[in-house]
Amino acid sequence: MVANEWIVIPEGTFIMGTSPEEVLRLARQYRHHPSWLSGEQSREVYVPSFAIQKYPVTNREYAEFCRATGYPPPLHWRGGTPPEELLDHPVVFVSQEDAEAYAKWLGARLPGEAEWEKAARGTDRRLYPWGNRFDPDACCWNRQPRNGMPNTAPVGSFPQGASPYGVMDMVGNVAEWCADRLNPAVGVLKGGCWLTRSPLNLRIAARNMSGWRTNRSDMYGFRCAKEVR
Amino acid sequence: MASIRVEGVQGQMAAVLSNVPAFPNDRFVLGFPEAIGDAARAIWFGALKPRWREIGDGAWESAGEMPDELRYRLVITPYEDYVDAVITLTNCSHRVWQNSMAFNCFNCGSSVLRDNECLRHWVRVKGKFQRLVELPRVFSDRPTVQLYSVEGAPPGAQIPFVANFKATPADVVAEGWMAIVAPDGKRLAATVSRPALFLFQNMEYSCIHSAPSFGTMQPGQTAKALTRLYFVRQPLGKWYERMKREMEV
Repeated sequence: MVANEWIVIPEGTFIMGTSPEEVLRLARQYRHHPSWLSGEQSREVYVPSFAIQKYPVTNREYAEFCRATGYPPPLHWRGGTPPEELLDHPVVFVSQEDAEAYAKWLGARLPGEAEWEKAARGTDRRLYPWGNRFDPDACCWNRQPRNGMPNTAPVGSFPQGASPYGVMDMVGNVAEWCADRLNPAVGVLKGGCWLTRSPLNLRIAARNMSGWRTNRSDMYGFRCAKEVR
Repeated sequence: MASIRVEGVQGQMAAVLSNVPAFPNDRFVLGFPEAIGDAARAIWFGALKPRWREIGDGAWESAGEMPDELRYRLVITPYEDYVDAVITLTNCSHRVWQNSMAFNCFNCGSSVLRDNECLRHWVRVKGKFQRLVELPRVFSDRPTVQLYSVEGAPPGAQIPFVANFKATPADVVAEGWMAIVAPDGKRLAATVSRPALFLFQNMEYSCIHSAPSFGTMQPGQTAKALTRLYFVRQPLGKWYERMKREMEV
C-alpha cells in the first residue's frame, strides 16, 4: 500500500509545449506528420507554487471516497468495491466530473494543464519526466508483443520514471484529467496511458488524447492538486 | 450460412457483431446511423429511436424517422467475412438536400484492433497507402477526431456537417474507405461506402467511419447507399485488390 503524499512544486516560469524545431525532429523520428503535434505550441508560463499528489489516485483511495459520500463507484467494480488485486492501481473509468468530485471531497482540485506539465518536466524542457530519451522501463506503457495483455500497474512501480520533483507515474499508466477544458464538453488529458504504444504520445507535452469530459474510459484516471500557503 | 452474428440493440442505433471468424474473441459495435439526413441539418440518433427486428438468415433491420424531415430503413446482412449495411433514406422535408449522408460509426474499441493512436489506421491517398499519422491533421477543440474529404465527393469544407468539426485537413483527399490493421499485420477490418461522402475517425473510441452519400435529394425523393464492413485475414494490399473488384470505389 502506498501513501499518496503531497509534493510541493516551487513557483516560477517554465517552457510548456514543444518548440517548432523539436516538432520537426520528433515527427521525423516517429514517422508522423508534424501537424500531429500542432496542439503543443511552445510558450513560457509562470506557475505559482502548488502541491500535487505524488501518485495518481488509486482504487483504494477512490473506494474510500465512494464509501464516505455514496458517490457511484466505477462500473467495473463488482458489488461497488474494487478488485482486491487492483487496490493500488490507479482508478480508471472515471470522467472529468468524477475526478472533480473526488478532488472537492479531498479539499483539493484537479491540476491545471500548466501545473501538471511543470510537475512532470521541471524547468529544463525535457520530453519525459526522467529526461529526453525514452526509457521503456520507466513507465507503464504498451510494450506488446510481450507476455500477456497490457494493463495498469500499481502506482509507484517505476521509480526510475520520477519527475525532477519526485512525482511518479506522470506518463503511462493512466492518462490524467486536468482542470482545463478545450471547449465546454472536452477536458484536457495528459500523459498517455498503459495502452499507449508510441513514445511520441507518452511525452509530457502530448495532448492528443483530450476528449469528452463525461467519458469514462479504461484509459483515464487523475491526481489532485491544491494551493500551498 | 453467414458466420458473423448481428444483434440490434432496441431503442438505440447500436448493433453488435460477434462470432467474426478473423477476430473470434472480439465484438464490434455499430452505431448505424449516428446521424442521418441533410448534411446541412443532420438528425442525431437521440431523436430517431430506431426499432430493430431480425428478418431472417441472420440479417437485422431497423427503421427510424423524424416527421416532416426524414425516414430511413437500414438492413444489416452478415456474410462469411463481411457485413453489408444498406440504408434507404427518404427526404420528407420541403427542402432540397444538397448533400445527404449517414454517419455510420464502426467501433473497434473492444477488439484486438483497438488503436487509440491511429498508428495502424490506413487510408489511400493519391494512389498510395498511408497511415493516418503520416497525413496532415487539424488540431481542433476535439483533438481525438479527424475528418477527411474523399474522391468524387465535395471537399469537406463545402459539407456543413464536416466543416462544423473544424478538423478536416484541406490538402488530403482519400479514397472512400478506412482500415485498421491488427497488431500482427495479418488481419484487418475496414469500412467502405459506395458512394462515400467523407471519412471520420475518433481516437477516443478507436472508431472509424466511411459516411455513405445519398447525393442531392429532392423533397419526397428516396435513395439508397451501401456501407460494407470487412473482417479479413489478409494484409492490406491483398484485401484492397479484392475490395476494388467488389466495390469499384
